Amino acid sequence: MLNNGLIIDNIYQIISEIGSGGMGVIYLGYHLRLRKYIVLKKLKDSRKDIRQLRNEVDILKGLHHSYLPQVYDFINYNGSVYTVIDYIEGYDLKYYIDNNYQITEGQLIKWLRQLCEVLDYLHSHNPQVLHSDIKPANIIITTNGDICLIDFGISLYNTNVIMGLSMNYSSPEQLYNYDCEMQGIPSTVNVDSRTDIFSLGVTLYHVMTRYTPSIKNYPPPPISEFDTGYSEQLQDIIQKAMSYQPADRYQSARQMLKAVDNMKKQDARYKGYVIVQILSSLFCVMLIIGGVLMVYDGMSKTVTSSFQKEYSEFVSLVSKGSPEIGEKGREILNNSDYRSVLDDDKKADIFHAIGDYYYDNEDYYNAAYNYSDCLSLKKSEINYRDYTMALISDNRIDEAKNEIQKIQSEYSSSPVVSLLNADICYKTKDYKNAVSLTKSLIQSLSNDSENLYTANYILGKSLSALNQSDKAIEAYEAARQQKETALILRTIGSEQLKTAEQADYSQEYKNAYNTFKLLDEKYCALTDDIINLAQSAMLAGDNSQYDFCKNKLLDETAKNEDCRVYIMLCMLSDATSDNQTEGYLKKTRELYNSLSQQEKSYISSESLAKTKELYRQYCGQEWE
Amino acid sequence: MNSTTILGIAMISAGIILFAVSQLLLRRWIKKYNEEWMEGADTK
Repeated sequence: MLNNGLIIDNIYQIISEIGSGGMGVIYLGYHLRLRKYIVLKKLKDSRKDIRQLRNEVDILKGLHHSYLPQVYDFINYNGSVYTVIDYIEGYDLKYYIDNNYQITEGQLIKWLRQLCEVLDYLHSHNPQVLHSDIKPANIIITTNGDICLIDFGISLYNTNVIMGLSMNYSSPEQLYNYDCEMQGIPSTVNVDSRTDIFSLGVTLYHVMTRYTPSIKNYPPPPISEFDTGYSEQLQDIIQKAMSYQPADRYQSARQMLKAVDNMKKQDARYKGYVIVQILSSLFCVMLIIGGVLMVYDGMSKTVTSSFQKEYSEFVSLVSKGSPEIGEKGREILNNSDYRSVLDDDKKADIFHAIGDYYYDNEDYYNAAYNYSDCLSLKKSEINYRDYTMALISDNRIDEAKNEIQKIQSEYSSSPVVSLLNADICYKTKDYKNAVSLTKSLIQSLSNDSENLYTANYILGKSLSALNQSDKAIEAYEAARQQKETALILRTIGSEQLKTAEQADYSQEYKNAYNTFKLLDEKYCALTDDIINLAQSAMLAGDNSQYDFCKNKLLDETAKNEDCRVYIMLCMLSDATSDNQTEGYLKKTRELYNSLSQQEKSYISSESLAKTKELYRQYCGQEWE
Repeated sequence: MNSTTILGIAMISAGIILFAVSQLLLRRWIKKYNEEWMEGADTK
């Protein structure tokens, strides 16, 4: 018995005795240093030695939680042991029950959550602490409305030795162990954290129903039999917590807390929020996906329209036989943006068109190179034919023969084989055979305009080589009927010019002039074509065309300074009595002197002699 | 950049902004709801 006003250890002043329980007497005191009220609890335990008690108090001193009172000290005074703990202001749950306070579900859930939190803290503490005496009297509702779990007098620390119990709130296994201990029989039942879960369940059951359950009359009536007004979910949680078998209860306070938190998921308002969240997220995601698809579609359309524009430009260059075909074609092929729209067929077409351009300009190596790329992308008789013809024209006869074998194996009885054999004959100067092969082929082909064009072209070349210009022109014209190209017009014009030169026949010069003029109008005429145009006009003696031809030649000089163009310009200037003639002659001489011997050999001796004569006339000095 | 691309970018921007705003509002509502649920009635 401690007297009021007594000061222990110069720190704790006894104010009054405020109660006594099964486990000891309780005094209200004042902490003189901290200047706060405290509780001194005298322990009655006689079974434990001081050292063991001190160890337990040390564990309690190590517990710090918002819903636990702080244990400050352990004192030994006059042979009695006291623990010094926080004084918690408020009423315990028992007070609320006894005074028949109505506790709302919200209040109950809040306290239940706090109890679960504090139990989870105790159970996961090292060493584990089992409160083992959870009951309404040990749960204080503080002035803040929060709970505070008190009275660790019979708490268990890593032991199954039951120090005491509260009959109506203790779990079956705790009760069994206590009985065994009382009778001195060793217990085989393990008491763990689920004992606190049981006591918590029973405590809440009591609060909800105001009915004190008894373990002796287990199970108590279900909560649903009472008119409590609490939700089914909450009732289910409490019923589960107070299951007889530990395995049927929540296995931890955390699990129980989770179950409490999950309760709100059943609430209509919460469900409404979740549905709104899902729907709004779904709408936003769909909006974003739609936007991404539209951006992709828009960019694809941009790429497609840009590609179509460039491709149509390319097709236009191809139709004119422009020298820019190669550059434009490579630009399209190398543009990485066009990967999605440029399929193998289109790539092959571009390579083929570039190959055609090189072939028409007698650059057979590059023609074969591009035809080969085309063939690797798209295998067809025509692509094989053109590649092989480029090989033949490039004097790679063995490679061409290999290709012919491939065509024979892939396309049996193909007319292309005869066509290529005819081309080989032409290349190897076996013109008669070439003529015979192409003639028989032309007879066998009816509507195959592609091969008819090529067959007539080879026939024309072969006949021209046999000096049968008239027949050659007929063959070329037949080819032109199948397909008009810059190449065929150029070939016809050259053949007409050749015929006219041989026979000095002015009508044929006019024909040649018309052919080259048509070539210039419809296609991109080469420098040679312009020279031939001017030459045919001059040789035809068509004065009305001189100025036109002179202008064409001047346009050519603006593009590149070609000596042959200047020679032709000098001649036309002389014929039109142009006062620029002297200047053109001086420029021609200057250009001629800068040429290599090989380049000089391309200039016809007749033209050169005529130019030198004009130079002497106009410049009054000899050409050196 | 054509009109489809511009519309697509506008849709993506609108989607992101709407998503952010809706999440913000919903979080506030749910937080308020949680507070109400946790607090229950005044127990002080």
